[in-house]
Amino acid sequence: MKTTENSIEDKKLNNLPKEEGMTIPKDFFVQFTSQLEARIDQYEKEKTITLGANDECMKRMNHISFNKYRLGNWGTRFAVVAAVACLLVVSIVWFNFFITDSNSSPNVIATMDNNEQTFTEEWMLASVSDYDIMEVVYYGTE
Amino acid sequence: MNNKHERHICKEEERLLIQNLHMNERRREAFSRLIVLYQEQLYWQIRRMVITHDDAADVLQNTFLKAWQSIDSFRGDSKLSTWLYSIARNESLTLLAKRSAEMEQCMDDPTDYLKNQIETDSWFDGDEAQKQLRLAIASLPDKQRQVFNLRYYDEMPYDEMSELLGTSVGALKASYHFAVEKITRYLHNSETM
Repeated sequence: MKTTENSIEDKKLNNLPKEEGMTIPKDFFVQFTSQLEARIDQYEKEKTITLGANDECMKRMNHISFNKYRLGNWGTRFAVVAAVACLLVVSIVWFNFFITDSNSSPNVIATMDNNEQTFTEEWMLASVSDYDIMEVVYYGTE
Repeated sequence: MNNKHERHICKEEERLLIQNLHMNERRREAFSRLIVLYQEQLYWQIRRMVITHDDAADVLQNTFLKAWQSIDSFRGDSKLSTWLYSIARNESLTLLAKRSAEMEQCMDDPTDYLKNQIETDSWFDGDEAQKQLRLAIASLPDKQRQVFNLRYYDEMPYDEMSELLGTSVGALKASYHFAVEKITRYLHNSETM
């Protein structure tokens, strides 16, 4: 090594060859240059074709006004927010109706079932005499 | 770089070359000039990393193609040679990783791949000492091998190497020191065997 930065290492490597013994085919770089130029030409050609195809695709998308529906549009943003709000309101109303209905209906049915199963004769009497149902129940169990 | 294969390019020529590379109408001509200026220097740097001529030729072509594709992103902050070497280094490491993965099933040690390449390299006419040195270098980890090659064969100053590899000068000196130690030990062991 010519520099003195690594004197210890230089001494260690003094006897080692600096030539590497590697060879290359004759005129390799001439052939390499022409091959590389051809590959760059091919790349440029393919790039042009690809870009051309992309342009055509963009034209078609613009033709069907695809860009109108992008979320970047303020009108679209408002429409999305309004739709979500409507959906929320409908959900709340439907949920409330369902809860109320499900809370009341089973009790009514159960009461009727009890009347029918337990107080058939008494219920008949009560319905004829227009007695209050609680009174009929009390009378029947006596 | 003081590489024996380097064609010297002055600052003014490099500035003009970069300027032309950014002009669409002159880009192709400037790039042809770039190829002529740097192909030989890059080839040997790549060849030392990937060992065989065929792999070096493939990597060199990919390097220039990548450079052509990303020429717009080169702003001239670093030297052209540094930029090209960075691409070449990445391409070489990618190829080595790919080849090592392919050979992993039949080889226990990843460095066996490089040793095998040296043994079978048909474009090598060196003597036994040169071959042993190549084998010793191949046994080094990637980073140490790069540092050793740049320092020993290209005689690259540490500050330039630091810019090239993105590592501090101190760390590079340490890497080179360890590389020399390992090579010396490897050669000593191979002599005594």
